[in-house]
Amino acid sequence: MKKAYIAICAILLVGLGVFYAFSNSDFNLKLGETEIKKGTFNESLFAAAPQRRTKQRDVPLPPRKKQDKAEMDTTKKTILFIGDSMVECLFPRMSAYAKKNGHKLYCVVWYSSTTEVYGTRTTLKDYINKYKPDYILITLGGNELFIRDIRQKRQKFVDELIRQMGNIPFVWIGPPNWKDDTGINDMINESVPPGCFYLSYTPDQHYNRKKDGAHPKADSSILWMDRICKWIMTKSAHPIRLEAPPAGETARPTKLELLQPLR
Amino acid sequence: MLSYDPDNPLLFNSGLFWVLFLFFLPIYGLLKSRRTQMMIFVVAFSLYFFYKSSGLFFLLLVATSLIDWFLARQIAQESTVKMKRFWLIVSIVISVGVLCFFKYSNAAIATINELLHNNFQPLDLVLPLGISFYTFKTISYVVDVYKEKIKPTENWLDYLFYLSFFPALAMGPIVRASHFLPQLKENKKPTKTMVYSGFWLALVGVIKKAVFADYFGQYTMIAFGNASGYSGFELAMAVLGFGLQIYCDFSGYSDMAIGMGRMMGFDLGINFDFPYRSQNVTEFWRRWHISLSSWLRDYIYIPLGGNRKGKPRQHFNLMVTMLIGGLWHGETLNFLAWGGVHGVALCLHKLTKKPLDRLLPSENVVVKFCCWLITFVFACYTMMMLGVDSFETVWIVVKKSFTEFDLAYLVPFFTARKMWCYLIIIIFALHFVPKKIYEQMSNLFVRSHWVIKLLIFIIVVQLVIQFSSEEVQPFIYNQF
Repeated sequence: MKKAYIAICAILLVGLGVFYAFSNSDFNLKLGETEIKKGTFNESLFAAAPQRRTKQRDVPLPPRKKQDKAEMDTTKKTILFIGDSMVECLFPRMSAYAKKNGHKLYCVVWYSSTTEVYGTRTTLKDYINKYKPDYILITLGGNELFIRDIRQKRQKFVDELIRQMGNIPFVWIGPPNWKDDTGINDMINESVPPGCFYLSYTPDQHYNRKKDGAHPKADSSILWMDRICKWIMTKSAHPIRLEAPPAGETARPTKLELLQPLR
Repeated sequence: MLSYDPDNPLLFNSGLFWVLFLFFLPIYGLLKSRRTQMMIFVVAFSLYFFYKSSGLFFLLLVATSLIDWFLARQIAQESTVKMKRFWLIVSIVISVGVLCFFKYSNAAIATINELLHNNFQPLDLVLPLGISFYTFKTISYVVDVYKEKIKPTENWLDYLFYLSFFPALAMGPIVRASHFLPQLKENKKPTKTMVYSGFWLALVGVIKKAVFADYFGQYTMIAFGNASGYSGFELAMAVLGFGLQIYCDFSGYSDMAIGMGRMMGFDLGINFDFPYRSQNVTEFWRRWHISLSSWLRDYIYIPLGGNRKGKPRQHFNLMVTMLIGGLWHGETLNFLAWGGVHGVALCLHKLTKKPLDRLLPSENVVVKFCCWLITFVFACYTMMMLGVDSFETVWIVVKKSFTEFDLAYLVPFFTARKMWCYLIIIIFALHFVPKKIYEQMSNLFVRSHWVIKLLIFIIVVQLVIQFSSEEVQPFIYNQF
């Protein structure tokens, strides 16, 4: 019995030691095309962060720092509107806003994309270089509502996207949840500067959904974009002129690019 | 290490547990031959395990063990049946009362609020770890003492050891005192085969729970969370996935518990015996969560009269037993309905068994296959009731998966969720591998060199890491 116990302990000790060393090293392994992933042993053993859920809030997310009300920038802007399929819901109305207020609007819809898809590539930076926007609207997170250990898995990609946007003023539009998420909204809100995150998931925001149950229908998308634009003008860190076009009016953007899902 | 974090309960699939187990095992090995010291050590570890999962509620377990140990001795000492029965009722009322308070208070308040249009605030309650399991254990102990099937333990430590034994504390199996206490008394040293086969079983459990169940769960959670947004085919796949998920989750945890018990020299029995091989619902309940179904049979169904008082009464007894079984699993109406549906199915099976056996040749392969398919589909669809949040969702899932089932979704579904499909096929295939093969694999592991064992351990942990960061695609994007 004792020998067997010693052997089991040795197996556990050596095995866990191997994983501990591997997870703390810069050494990367690949098996064919598959990357051998590293466990986050330090966090998961001794400092596991509690997994928080974003529940529908009665009040908007509070800003993390007290900020003075920013003055509205009334100049005409070149806006890059980029993100996942939610951009497709929002851009027709946003185009009407752009037209009414004299902005240029470049839209990039990458179906099925996530913060990881964008964060591991330079696509965002490439479009910034291509269109040279002085304002960015980004919507990502709808495909990541139910990811476990979201901070461990996605924080670095959100930080990378913020880094790619550099000093260009931006607003990150949160996903219109259809259910409480595992923390993506909280994580993005805490990562961006105050006044740069619009929370789309509050009880006063109702969405009529398309057949897929996730994407808002056209009428709901128009109302959603109206609320976002009003928020940008009045509450965001970088207000720009976004006077409302006639109710329900939509338009075409300056340019639209559609990217297919990764396979 | 010493603080209690409700968001991070200590469970067998956490890394911290295995690090602690690494320290636990050699000390246990050293103390094994000194029975009292070994028991004090294991009880202390078990209570620490409980504390890390439920905070100060570990005191509730201590109190329960003390009260029922005392009452069981009282029952044994009483000379009249009347007084024995009195103490038995006191014990059951306390045990069931505590369980109901923690498990059903808020559900009762919500029901009262709805019926009487009141606004009573729900209680701020946390369900102590494994309360449903250890309550059934303690009831069976007291009843067995009352029926003189077993003698009460000599000292409280023996009983506390049995009730708090950490491998079986959180999710069973509901091992009976009559099975466990003689092993404790004997305190036999585990053989090398027991230790290694226990380790093997624990690793199998880790794979089932942390690789298969958790990965299946990613998709089923998304699909059931937004059932109206998914096609009939996708929902049918979610139902299939959830049926396998709940099996892998529960049987995986049971395997870990039984494996760890075996490593420590205790046989905790078996809890799942390939339930999805069943060809009828009665067989299903003989293979699914065996320790619970046999508990319900011995302590509810048979005392109610079982099949001894005629057919109508047997069916009534079955329904009561299954409804209690449903409520034991959870406090919502979904669980009650789940128990009820299984009760009805069991009654129907008992009613139709004889005429069907006469009508259909039971050895015919086609008949066998049809029986299996019906049972499997029934089991998966009823399991789904435990995975959704309302009756409305149950209805949407059932309706859409039967009326809007379109095989055109097969290819896009497979393309978007290849790994998920592969894992479903693998677990399904593994379920039908003959038991003998599993025994041979276990024996091979036992006999293998320790380097091979280490390699297998590393592969298992790497699979857990690999799959815990894999994600399932929520939508089939090429559909719109």
